[in-house]
Amino acid sequence: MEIYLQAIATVLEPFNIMVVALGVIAGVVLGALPGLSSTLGLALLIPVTFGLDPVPAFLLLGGMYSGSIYGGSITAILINVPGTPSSAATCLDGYPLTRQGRAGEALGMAVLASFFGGILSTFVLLFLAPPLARIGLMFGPPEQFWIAIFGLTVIVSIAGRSFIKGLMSGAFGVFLSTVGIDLMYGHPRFTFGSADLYEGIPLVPAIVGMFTIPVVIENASRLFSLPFDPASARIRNILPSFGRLRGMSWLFVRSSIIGTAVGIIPGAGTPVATFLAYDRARRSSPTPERFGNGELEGVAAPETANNAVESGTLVPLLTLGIPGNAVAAVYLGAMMIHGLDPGPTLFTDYGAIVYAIIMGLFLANIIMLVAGLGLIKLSINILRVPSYLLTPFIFIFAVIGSYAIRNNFFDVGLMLWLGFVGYWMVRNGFSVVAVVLGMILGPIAENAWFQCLVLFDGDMLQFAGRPICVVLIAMTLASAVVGSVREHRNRRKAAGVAAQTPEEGKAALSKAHGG
Amino acid sequence: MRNIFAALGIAVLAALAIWHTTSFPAESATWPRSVLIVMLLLSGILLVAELRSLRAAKSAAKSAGRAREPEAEASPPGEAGQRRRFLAVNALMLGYLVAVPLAGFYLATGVFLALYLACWGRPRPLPLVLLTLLPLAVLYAIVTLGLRIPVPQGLLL
Repeated sequence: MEIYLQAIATVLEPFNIMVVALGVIAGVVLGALPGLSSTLGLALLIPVTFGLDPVPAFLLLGGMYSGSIYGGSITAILINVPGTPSSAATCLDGYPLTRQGRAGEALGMAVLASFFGGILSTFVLLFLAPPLARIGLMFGPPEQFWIAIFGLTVIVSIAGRSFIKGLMSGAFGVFLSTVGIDLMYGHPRFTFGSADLYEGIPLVPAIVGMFTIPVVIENASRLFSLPFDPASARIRNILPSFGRLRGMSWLFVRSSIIGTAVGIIPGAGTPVATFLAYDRARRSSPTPERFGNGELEGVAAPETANNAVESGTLVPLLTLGIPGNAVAAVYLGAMMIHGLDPGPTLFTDYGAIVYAIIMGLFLANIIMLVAGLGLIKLSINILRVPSYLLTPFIFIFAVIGSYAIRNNFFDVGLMLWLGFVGYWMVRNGFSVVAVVLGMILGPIAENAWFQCLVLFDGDMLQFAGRPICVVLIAMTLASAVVGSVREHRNRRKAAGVAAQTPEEGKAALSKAHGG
Repeated sequence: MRNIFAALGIAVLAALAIWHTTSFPAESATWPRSVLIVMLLLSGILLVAELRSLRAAKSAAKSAGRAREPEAEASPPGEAGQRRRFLAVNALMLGYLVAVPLAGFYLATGVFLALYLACWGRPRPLPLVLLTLLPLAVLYAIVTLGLRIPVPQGLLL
């Protein structure tokens, strides 16, 4: 109990409240801009957190994450373009509501639903993570090795459209992590005589480059303007009646459970949670025919679920070190940069910090509620900002961020090079998320592997035969089999479509091959 | 075809890297070599899968009596303007990378911003100057004065 109170006191320090508020507002702005995802926001913010202690640093990141998920719903509701992939389901009823002149109600419901989803799932995180972490404490080097391999396999199975390309991307990331002086034997690997590479490829330039440069190139190459019509976005009522809200209480709870559960399952993905929650809301509605034509419940369900995913993904991340989605992968990188190694020992070694981070999520959701409702009219103006004003700044912040970590301009070049590689990968259906994850999990796997070699002297039974290892290997194989079967099915389907019309065939083949 | 070239390219790079690991001591080489062998195998699987998909698509098209054969890859961005902007933004970023060590962060950033806004935003001279100088001032206030984050120094500034 004492640790909870201490965490609450830490979070309620004025500076920390200000940091969360800044994170939430920056997140709302970023999330509302199509093409700029939560992942990109976190990647750009990591360098800003260098000068901060771990608690405010992660409060800033947590605020940004919460805000960006809600921000994504603004464009989804007003112009039928999801600001982030997690808001895709919100378009279904959000935009019809705007066309009926009820944009204010839809946005108000999105804020309320995001708040409920965020708060309920943070409670789950608070009470579920510590016991899970205690189980995790039983893990030795072999389990850590297989956890890293499982984490990599499970995310590549969903990160890209092609499973093979996802695996190749993950392997490429692990390969990049081997650059630098081998910590076990002290031999430089793949440094080609460059002293700048002795410490390896730094994580921040890699994350920043791989997530931002493809966006900069894409935004600059394809000029686009948002089809925003201010007349259609008149704001009248914002809050629904109390009776209506009370009638939706089970919807909030159910959608939060769906979002949190999907978040906990590594690799399941936020869009899955939002469409599941939407589907469940439609099926249990007495008026399912209204869904898709402007129903407030159709906004509430996905918006509750997508914010619930946030805390859900933190459960496996904080307890086992497994990031369940792209944002969690970047979050994992940020934790390592701040010296917090996610995993079972996190709660014992850094309990005060971790509980403060969790309590910060409650605060982030409360601030999002207040700021979101108060600034709805203002937030619509975000859509008036032309994209050509934003794109150069993303690049400039990427440069600042990559330079700041070691005050070394070499890292800026590295960031740009990895950004070009990332752009090529994205264009060809490879996964930059898997690369980053490979870079993070690679050293963990290598270190655990080395420890196993020393401990067990090459005894494979000890390495792979312990009960938890067997479960992890089975889960790894299962996710590999599911990924392979899905890829095989996609290819067969694509070949079938190709036989029907050349144009459809081209599109289907490209999609199936991840190109 | 694009995927086939990608698989071949990655296989060649992985093979070269495996060859490079022969210069490492055995203990240091084992892990990266294992990872690279996995990459090489995956490239082979991708190559075989691509060739089989292409063949299946061709034979399916033939059996459906189509005269034209579908092409496997998605067409690259076709629009000429888009390609021009793609080249321009890459050139601008690379130019910026060269300019920063010479001119310093703020001067190079100012030129980069002005060029970007001139090419993409096409604003009139006064807004262009304002949109360049104001953000620079805000950046300086936040990054250098506020957060005290170091920025790259150049020969000039």
